Amino acid sequence: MGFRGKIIRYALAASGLLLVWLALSLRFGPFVLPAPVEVLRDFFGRLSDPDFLSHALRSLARLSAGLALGFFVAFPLGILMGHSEKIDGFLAPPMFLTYPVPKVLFLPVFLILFGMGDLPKTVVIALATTYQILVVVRDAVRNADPSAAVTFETLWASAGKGGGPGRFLSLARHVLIPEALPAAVSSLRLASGTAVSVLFVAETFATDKGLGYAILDAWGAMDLKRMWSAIIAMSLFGAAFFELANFLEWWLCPWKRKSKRKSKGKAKRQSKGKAKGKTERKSEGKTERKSEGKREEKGDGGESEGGGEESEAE
Amino acid sequence: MAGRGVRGEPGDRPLSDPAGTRPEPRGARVLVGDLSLDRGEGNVLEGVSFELSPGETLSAVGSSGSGKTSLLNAVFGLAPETVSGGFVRIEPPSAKKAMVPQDSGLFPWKTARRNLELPLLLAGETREKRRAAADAMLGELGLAGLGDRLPRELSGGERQRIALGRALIAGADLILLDEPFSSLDSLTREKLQDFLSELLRSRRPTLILATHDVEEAVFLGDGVLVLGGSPARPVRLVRNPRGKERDPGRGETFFRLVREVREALAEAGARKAP
Repeated sequence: MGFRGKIIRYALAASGLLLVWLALSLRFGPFVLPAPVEVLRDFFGRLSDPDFLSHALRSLARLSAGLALGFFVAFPLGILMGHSEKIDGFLAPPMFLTYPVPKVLFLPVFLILFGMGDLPKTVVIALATTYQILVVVRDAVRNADPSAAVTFETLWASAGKGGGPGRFLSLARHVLIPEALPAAVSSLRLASGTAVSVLFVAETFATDKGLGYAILDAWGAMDLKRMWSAIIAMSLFGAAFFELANFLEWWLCPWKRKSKRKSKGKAKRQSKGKAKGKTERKSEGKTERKSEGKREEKGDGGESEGGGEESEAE
Repeated sequence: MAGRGVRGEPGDRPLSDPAGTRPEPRGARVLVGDLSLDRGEGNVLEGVSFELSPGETLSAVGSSGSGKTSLLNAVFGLAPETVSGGFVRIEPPSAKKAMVPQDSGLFPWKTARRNLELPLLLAGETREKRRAAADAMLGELGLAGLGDRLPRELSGGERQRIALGRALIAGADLILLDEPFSSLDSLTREKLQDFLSELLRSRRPTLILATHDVEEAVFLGDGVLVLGGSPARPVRLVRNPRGKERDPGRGETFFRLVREVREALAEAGARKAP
């Protein structure tokens, strides 16, 4: 999926949603659901409204801090639990016992503990997302093919190194983290949705900043356009974190990418580089024509087809 | 096959030596005496004895489940708890060992170059040394220019070469190969066998190769240890009199030995059947 394809799909989905919205607003009238054009005009107008922006920025800060805190607690902990039966034996039972409890319930507790500032909101977002990421990372490491760890074992022994923390850190760096990353990043997608929901709840009381507060405030004043603008802003944050997770997956886990190196949209630019690669490979790697046969044939016959074939071959 | 393999001629030089540290002859001495292995459900392997002089190669051949992988693991020292009798001795004890597992064991998240560099990285080599060694190794493997590819972007044969290169790059004295070419088609496999025997000639490590391919076992082994039965026992130790200087055509002697190994395997199979 190219970047352009993604934009097009988003645009299509957005226009579909707008149509449904339009239909509903016609049905229920402007006091329940204002027309999309009205709301969008209001929304874009508010992008230069310092009050609205400060609400949005505060929400974004809480969301980012909460997700980051949740991730950086869950990721190492999940790796430890997935790797070590012993640690898992201690931590898994309490984790599964508390897993079904909605973490947002602890907000009052955190308000008492951490006061009225941003900290309790950040912490409750972190707590809610930590669980989601932790379970996924733990399982990813637990269920990973053990052969990579065994191979690392032989390489470590060959290097003549002993045990100790150095060995574990090296194992984590070369095996455990790469094993856990794809799952962790995709759990971040789920967690971004959770984080926005929790954020809304957290911002609906004991604060006068943030989009959650703005939504309730506008609702109280029956300023529906402002309310919907804030809802749109919050939804965009959710979508942005979702896409951030997608980007992180692409960026951090190149071995998980669907098509290799070439994407369909860039056939012209890529075919040059590919032709070069081909000649190199022909002059230096003559030996196993048979296994490469398929690739070579395709390359020889279809150089003009450009990069598209490469992803088909995958 | 105590010490009977053909040694390197004094004038032989390795084609390249990226690590650039060890003088010839490279290679560890391996002594295995009456070794039995138990993976928790009774012995899988019994009564294995052999001796390998530095630079000699041994092929362990047998059907799947005959304990070849367990034997390699035990020689490597990977699973000491499986040794239920006998001993494995490697001289000198400080000899560098390297293992290539059945599936090539490349890390899918590392490029070919990073996979090659890993043993040096773990040994604490500097970035410049690692780069230079990986470049030299990529060239020797015939894969220059493919260093930045991920394993899945390489063919099966290319992957196996990288795996061999990773075993060789830190200058191993004893290399253990577990069915290195079993997933390749027969033409690629023969090319890689030639390639490996070339590497062995130039670097002369001691080598133990587990395989179920009889031709491969005879082609690459100074000795062929035939395993059969359940639990598996050594049925026969076939010596390859031609030593390291293989005739390129896989000639008459080769086929005679292949026949001999096949007979031994058939014998073992017949004995196993009730």
